[in-house]
Amino acid sequence: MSNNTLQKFFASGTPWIWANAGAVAISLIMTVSLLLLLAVNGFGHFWPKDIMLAEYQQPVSEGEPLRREVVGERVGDEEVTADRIISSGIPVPADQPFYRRELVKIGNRELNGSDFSWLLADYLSNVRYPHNMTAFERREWGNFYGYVSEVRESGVTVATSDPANEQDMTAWNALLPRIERALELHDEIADVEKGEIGEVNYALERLRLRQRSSNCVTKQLNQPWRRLPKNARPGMRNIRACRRD
Amino acid sequence: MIEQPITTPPEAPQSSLGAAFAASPEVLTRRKFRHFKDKLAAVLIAIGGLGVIAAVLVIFLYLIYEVLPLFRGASIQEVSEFQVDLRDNVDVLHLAVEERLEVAMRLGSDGQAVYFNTDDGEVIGRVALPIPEGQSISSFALDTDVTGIFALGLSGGDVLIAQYGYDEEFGVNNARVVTPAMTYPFGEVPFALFEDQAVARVSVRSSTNELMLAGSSAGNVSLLRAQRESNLLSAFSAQGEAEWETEIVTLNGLIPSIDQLYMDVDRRWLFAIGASGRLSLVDIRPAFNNGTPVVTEEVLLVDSPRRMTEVTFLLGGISLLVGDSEGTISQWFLVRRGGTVGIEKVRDFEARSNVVALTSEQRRKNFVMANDEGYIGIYNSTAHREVAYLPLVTGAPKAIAVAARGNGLLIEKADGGFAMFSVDSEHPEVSWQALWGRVWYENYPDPDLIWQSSAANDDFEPKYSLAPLAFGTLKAAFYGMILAAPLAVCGAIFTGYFMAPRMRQSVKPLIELMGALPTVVLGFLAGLWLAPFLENNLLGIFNMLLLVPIGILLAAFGWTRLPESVRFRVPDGWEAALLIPVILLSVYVAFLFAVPLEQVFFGGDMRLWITNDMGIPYDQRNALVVGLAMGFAVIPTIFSIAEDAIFTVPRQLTYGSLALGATPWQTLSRVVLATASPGIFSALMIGMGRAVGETMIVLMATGNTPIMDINIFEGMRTLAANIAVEVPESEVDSTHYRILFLAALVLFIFTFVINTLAEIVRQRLRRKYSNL
Repeated sequence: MSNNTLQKFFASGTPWIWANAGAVAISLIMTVSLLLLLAVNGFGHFWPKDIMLAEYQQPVSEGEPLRREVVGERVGDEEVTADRIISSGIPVPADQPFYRRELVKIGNRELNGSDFSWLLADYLSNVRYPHNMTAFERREWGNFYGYVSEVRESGVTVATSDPANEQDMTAWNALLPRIERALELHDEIADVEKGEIGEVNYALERLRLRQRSSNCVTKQLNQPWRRLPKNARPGMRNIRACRRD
Repeated sequence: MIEQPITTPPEAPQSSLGAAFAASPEVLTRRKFRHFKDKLAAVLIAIGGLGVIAAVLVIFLYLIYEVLPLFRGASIQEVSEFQVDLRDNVDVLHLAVEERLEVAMRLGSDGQAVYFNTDDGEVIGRVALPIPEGQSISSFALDTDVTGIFALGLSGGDVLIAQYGYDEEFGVNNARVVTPAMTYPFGEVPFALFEDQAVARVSVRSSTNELMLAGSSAGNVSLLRAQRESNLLSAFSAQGEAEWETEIVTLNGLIPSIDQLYMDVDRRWLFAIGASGRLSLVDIRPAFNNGTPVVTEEVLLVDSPRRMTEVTFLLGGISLLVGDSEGTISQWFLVRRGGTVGIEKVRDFEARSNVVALTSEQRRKNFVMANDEGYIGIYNSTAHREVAYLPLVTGAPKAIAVAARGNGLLIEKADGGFAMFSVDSEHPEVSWQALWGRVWYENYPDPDLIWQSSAANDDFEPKYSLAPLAFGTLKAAFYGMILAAPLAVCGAIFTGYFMAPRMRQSVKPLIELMGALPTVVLGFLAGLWLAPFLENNLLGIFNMLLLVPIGILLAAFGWTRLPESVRFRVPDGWEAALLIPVILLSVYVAFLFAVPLEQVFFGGDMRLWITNDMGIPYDQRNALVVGLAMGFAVIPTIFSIAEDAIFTVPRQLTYGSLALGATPWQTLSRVVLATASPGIFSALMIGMGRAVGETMIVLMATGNTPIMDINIFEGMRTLAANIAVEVPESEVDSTHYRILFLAALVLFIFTFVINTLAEIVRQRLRRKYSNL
């Protein structure tokens, strides 16, 4: 690659044409990646993720490291330097420069206290995605993750499953129609609350207002105030007084 | 020709074809209809154009209409003039007006508070203060008019604390009846400050649980602190009254001569002023902590020929106002310099003649002055503005009082009569200096440009500097344009001139699609996704800025070195498509190397390195984020207009240039760009206007801190975002509200000036290149 070739290359103006082409390419990439980003983040909610079951044992500075089982959906991950992890209070060996940590939605808020947890990938072991692990979207407390091991109806066991057997769907199959029924009942309750009870409430409110207005009298200010406030309108002659009950 | 048959219209053309044309009624109707359409279009377009101008004018005028009251001065009108039956002709100690301006209180030196109506002077009540037998009032001090607490120094060395107020009830026909209310929050029994020596000067400051008194007598200074009993059982006596634990400290010979005695609101500093106007600043905190109070600073408040006449505190108890015999009022407050605290003169106000009365408003940083010529002046301290200066009475008034809302003024005249005035001064806090200049605010070490419009209490000094907001607007626009302008213009050049038509057909709409994204989506992404991403991958971004251009140049060079058999397979004008994988690869490499590079050079965390090693503050929501996000909003605008301008350059010009032997690049830079320059310029200006007025992106991605710092890693607050943030919270027609409209007007003028300049330059360029 002689100096001459480079000089000719720049003199021809070709690099500038390519630079302009680059600007178009960058704008295109920006547009498309923005749309993709929106699409991925937006539509991602419509695809249920597999639920991970794993064992996690994180090093601790003193005492015996606690081994626990984690259940949840993998949400994201990032590469973090060892220093940052050590400074956050987890004594990982510093000779490994980087650690991957995963953000896992562990749900079960009433048991865990928080919905999400950062887990260091190096200390996750025995990661599997059991087929019979179930996620429940609840009306309160967020998601619940677990096995359906038994279905009871009015205290009577209807079906049982062995969580260890991934193919055993007896309890799940027994649960499905009951969830359907519960949802229907819930809709019905909502209808009643909105419709019939709402009408009663509306009528009550109307009555209350009518009663309140019957407590009011419009008095004429036959004697004007000693001095009307500065912003008083000239026509201010009447005052409406209400008795509070 | 005279014999011409009348059936032929006189203007009919002679040719047979023309005659047939004219004669056909169908054609006539069509022509008429065409004429009508012509007229209709002209009228509609004219209405549209005039409508646009009218709309802009209406907006402009409405903004001005909302803003103008800010700059109006105060108007004062006399409401009533009356005499009050004071029984004895005693001197006035204090004069006060009740909030609704109906009743006033005058405290006389005989210890009698007289309450009277302000329309006719009818006395509605007299309260005799419980002054012990054999003592008389020797000095008076007011805590604040807001609380109404005052102290009376007595001739026997005692100090009595009382609180004036008004009780109101609604009687027959809802008439409001005001009755005097004199209470004794610290007990009716006076505190003993000196033994058998008259309290020559007294000063008082109180909170709910603590009272601090300072008194002077014959060169001695005594400090008294009374605290509410902390023991719950003994905190209230059998009568249900609070018990106070008092402590007295006497300072002998610390301050030689005392003419006036004041204390700051925190009960820490004592301002002892001698007759010559020499102020001794005493730190009294050690007095009750087993230490000795010391004089930390001595300052001459007034220069020799002048005599100090009136001293009062401004609202908040921080600033001391000193009026002198030559007609100057100076504002002083404590300033922290390094480790020490000193007192500084902050600004002067011109009162023009001997100041005889000085009082401050209770809800704004306003004060009212009366001089010996009977002129009354109303001033705002923060804005350094004389709101009014009018001759209201003859002779030097004895006392003046301002109503709590600042809308009334009561004057006790030299002849003993009273006059009540209504004051209309809605927006005293605004002046050119307050909006754009450096202002020395209370508790600040230096004059500064600050936007801090509201707080939870009235003591607060509103800080209305538009400078940080205007700066933030320009900063956001600058960082937005730095990214967007080159990308958009270069992209437009390639798309409009070099790109293959088939590719252009799909590229142009795609980039314009970027403009269809609502800015709130961009702002949301920038604030919630991009800002943390940038913080974690800062080095990756900088690598990218470096590697992507290098990658493009390398790819260009590599392409020219490829054998022709490969090169000819891709027709001209598809370079952009070839570059897409190159750029993606460069970005990938940039992020791949970012982590190890960060480890080697920046100790593993560039963001921390910037803050700790470079000492540059880093906010997560900063100008870099805004610049990137604003790029998305501005690129399509600039791109679209600039591309149109370049694409419409006449082909004969480029063909001519190429035929004469110029390379495509020479043709572009010498012929096409010159011809298209008006269009490119207006594209840039419209993009700039968009960046200046952008709201949602800056609102969500800047952190909205009104700071003035060009640092790319810090946020800002723009005029537009400021309006969006504060208008929903501000009181309608308040000063704050109108200043937000003023900000809108400034923004309007910004864009107006930019667009006008752009139009002028564009016209010139067009004229210059029109003959090409």
